[in-house]
Amino acid sequence: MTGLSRSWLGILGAATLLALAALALDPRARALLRDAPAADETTLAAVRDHRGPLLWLDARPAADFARGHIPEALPLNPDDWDQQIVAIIAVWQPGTRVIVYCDDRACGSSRAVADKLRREYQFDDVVILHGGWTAWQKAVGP
Amino acid sequence: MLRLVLTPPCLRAAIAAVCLATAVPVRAALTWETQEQRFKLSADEASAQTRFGFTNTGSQPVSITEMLAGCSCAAATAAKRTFAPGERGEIVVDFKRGNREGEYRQGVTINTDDGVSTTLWFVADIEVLVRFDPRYVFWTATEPRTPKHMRLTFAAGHQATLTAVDSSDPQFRTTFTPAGKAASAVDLTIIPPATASNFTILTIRFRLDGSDADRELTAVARTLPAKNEPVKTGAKPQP
Repeated sequence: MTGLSRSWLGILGAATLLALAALALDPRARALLRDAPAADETTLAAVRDHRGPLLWLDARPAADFARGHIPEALPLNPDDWDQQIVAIIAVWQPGTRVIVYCDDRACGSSRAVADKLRREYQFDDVVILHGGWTAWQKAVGP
Repeated sequence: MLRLVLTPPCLRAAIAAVCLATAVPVRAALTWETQEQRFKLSADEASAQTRFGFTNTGSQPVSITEMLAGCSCAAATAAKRTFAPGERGEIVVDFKRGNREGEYRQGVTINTDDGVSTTLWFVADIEVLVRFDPRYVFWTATEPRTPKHMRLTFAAGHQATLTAVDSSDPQFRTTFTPAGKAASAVDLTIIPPATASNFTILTIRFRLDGSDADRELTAVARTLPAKNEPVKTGAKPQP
């Protein structure tokens, strides 16, 4: 390898290392890497492949649900729980996959709803939609 | 002159400078003191407030363009929107618990005009006044219709006296112990009807810590229909 080639390789190598280091430090890049589904989450791709009954639950405020929601979803949010849980109980049976969603990954209501359904109501299969309503809208449109 | 600029050492140095400049992306200008806050609420507290401090460590002014909370329970505000280099600021988040209890985690997204979007997280540890174990009992179609139990445990330091349990469907009967005296936990027994599929809402009335005022909570019991009856199938996204 000539001296000229070594120089070019050295420059390229240094630039690559610097770029990787900057990427690791960039909060936007770290956020992307963190955005993998959690253990209790499901993705739209997994939902498409699911065989068996599904029940969608919308954990957003009532006004957001009224503006638009996943077809056939029922509302169940922490603020209106006592009024809304009855309709859920009336249709749920053991073996139904319950998928809870709210706006996006920053929304805590879907996890609060899912935890309560598992803990207090003994629902045996409850997951959260990764990316929430935002992910559904991106996949299927408004 | 052109020959001097185009000599291999100068050319290599120029290309290295371009590579270095493009390899290092622009750093976010707002540096946060923390991006997660935790706080507690007792069963009697309806709201709480938490703060996220930051400093503009960039060389240009930065403006906050949006503050988005993903629930109606939280609202984010700032005293001003534009921060000069070196200036410190705070985002104040007001949280209203509503009917939430237990651990509740929520993000608040802050967008700034330098193209950066930051999610701030708060975790509210809300005291659970009454813990149900469980809150819904059911019998499958093939299961014997023997009584089932719910235990209600009141938060540490609290005692309650159960005064009544009403069932919306009188075919479900209930008993509870202890009856007529304050306790830190109460056991509720639900006796289902022998046949048919039914559904009942149980309204549980109790008095907390010697108060004369009745409080109410609801629980549910159901005898499920046979599995060959139609079940709800949810929508699926089309590929």
